Amino acid sequence: MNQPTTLTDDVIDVLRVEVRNVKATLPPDTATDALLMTDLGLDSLDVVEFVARVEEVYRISVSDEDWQQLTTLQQIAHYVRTHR
Amino acid sequence: MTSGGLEHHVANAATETDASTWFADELGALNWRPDGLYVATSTAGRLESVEFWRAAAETGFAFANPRLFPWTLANSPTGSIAKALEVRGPTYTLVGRADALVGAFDHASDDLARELVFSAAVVAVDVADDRTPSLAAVLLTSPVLACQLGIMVEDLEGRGRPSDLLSHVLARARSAAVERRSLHSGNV
Amino acid sequence: MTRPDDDRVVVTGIGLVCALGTDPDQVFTRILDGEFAAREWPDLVADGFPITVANRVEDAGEYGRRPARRGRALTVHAVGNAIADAGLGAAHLKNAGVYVGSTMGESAGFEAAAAYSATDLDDATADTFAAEIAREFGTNGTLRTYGTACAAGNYAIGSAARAIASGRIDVAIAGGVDAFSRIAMLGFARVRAMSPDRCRPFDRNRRGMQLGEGAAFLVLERERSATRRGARRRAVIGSLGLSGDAHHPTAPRPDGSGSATALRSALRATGVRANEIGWINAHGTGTAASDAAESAAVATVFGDRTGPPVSSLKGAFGHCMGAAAAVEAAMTVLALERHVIPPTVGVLDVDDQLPIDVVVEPRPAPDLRWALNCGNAFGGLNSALLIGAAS
Repeated sequence: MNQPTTLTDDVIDVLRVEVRNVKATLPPDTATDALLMTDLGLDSLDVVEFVARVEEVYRISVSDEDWQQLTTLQQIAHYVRTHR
Repeated sequence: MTSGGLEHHVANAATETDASTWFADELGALNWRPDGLYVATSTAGRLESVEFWRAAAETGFAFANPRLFPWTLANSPTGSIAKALEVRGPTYTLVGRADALVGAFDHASDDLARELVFSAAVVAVDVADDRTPSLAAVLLTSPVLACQLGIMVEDLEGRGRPSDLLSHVLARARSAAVERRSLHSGNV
Repeated sequence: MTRPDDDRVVVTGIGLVCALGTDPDQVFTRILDGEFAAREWPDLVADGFPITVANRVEDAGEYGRRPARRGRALTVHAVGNAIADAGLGAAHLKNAGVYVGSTMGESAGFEAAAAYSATDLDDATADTFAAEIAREFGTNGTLRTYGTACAAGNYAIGSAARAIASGRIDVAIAGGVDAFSRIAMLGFARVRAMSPDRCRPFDRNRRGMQLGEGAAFLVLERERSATRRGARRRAVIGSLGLSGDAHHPTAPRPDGSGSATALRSALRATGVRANEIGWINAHGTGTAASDAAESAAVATVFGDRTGPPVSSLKGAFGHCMGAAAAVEAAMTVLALERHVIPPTVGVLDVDDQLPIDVVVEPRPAPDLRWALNCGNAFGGLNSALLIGAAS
């Protein structure tokens, strides 16, 4: 029963590392429901870079339709979990 | 640094660095607010092009990181410098060597003469093959001076990079201005 | 500010190569017929590109023989055609100025360098095209290369016209070139700016740009010289308006204020009023942000929904990068000659949020005298070139 939670937590950890690779000024414990652009201050180029990093780490492709719906770490984690 | 009304700046990064941000940071620190920006470059995003493609081959195209891509386009240094200096007027990117720098001075002089701009920053940027960037820049308000500096570059007849040529020309202009001042003050 | 007639800068020759063809008249007719060049390319599929639809010049090896010289091959073909069209002889060519716009240079050269094959980076850098023109066609005059991305063609043509107008030269060869760039094909896809199927500028469901390639060059002359030579005057080149957004490396200012400044600057410098503009040949890449910003700019300058008709041709032959504004300038000349405004190929359902009049079918324009050719580059560089009817 605990496994799905652990999986999400691992993914969240990875996402937090990768988002700091894109924008180094972000804290290590970025809120999972923070909006990437409005709250975390990522611009459009930062977001596509972040999505690209997530794709590379997890070897998944986020389609052109889907990527714009992913606006928080939580949503991205869910996407990763359901597309691995 | 001013000399005979000629405000200018020359710099080399000591080590290999991210040229894209370095150019903007160096110039942003100067507090220039030119109306127009005239950039000459011999390297025009080419190292970034090579690096972007090399990295893409490593990750595989499906996972290529887009971060470097905008910097493969020749006018990206101009865009980031324009943002750092808050330039809303004409901005130019001339690619090449002496011809590019002469072109930058031509356009600056022309725009100043036509009063499209009242201050023009002519900026030369290059990135060496080992990734160290260098820049030289001058802030001009006189179309005549812009024209004269362009002629000085043409007279050099060299194959040098814009940043080296501009440094050279500014050094000569500075010593000519110093000489004129000592003549006027009767120090001969 | 309008000059006496024989002191104007006129177009006496056009030459181009793009995915829709190499005959400017034929290309224009194809656009009127709603043709488009975009298709899937097996080599891009095989190489694993995320998006595999592009507008490439079909060639039987004439441009592809040496990939790192493709841009130069396209250039020589287009310039040769322009010179032939103008009937320009060696004596005039000798003193002609050469003005070239390019974004990527010889992209295949940089792609080869990444694989560590011995590549002379200088040979591939964008100023290589002007040098090639000088070498191939015997010009000894000014060489200028503008690396201003999607606006570069306008910069080249506008600057050449300025040099003629100011008396420094009598003749210029001006235009732009970019060979198909795999770097751009991958890069634009990875910054999510690229449409996977069609480019639909100003459409409610637009999904992004599409890559093209090409070369387009105009012969420009002082009208007095052209008349003396008995050359056909095809159009008049007015002034180039420029501005900077100072905003973001790739995204335009959403309110279009930067590009509005460029539009106004072109009008003012040429001495033409807003209500004299009969058509805007837009930058119109088909991305959500860029089309919206550009429309806002047009509305600001010309009035909300009351401005001149607007088309984008990028749905027909793709975004030709450094050649884009030059190919589109050539099409502007044709529109002025044939008194018809070409449609925005690719648009299905015009986005009614955009405060502009989008042309969806060819529109007869018997009174068309002035048009604006627009190009807005990454880094927020905006350009608008005024082009007018010769007579």
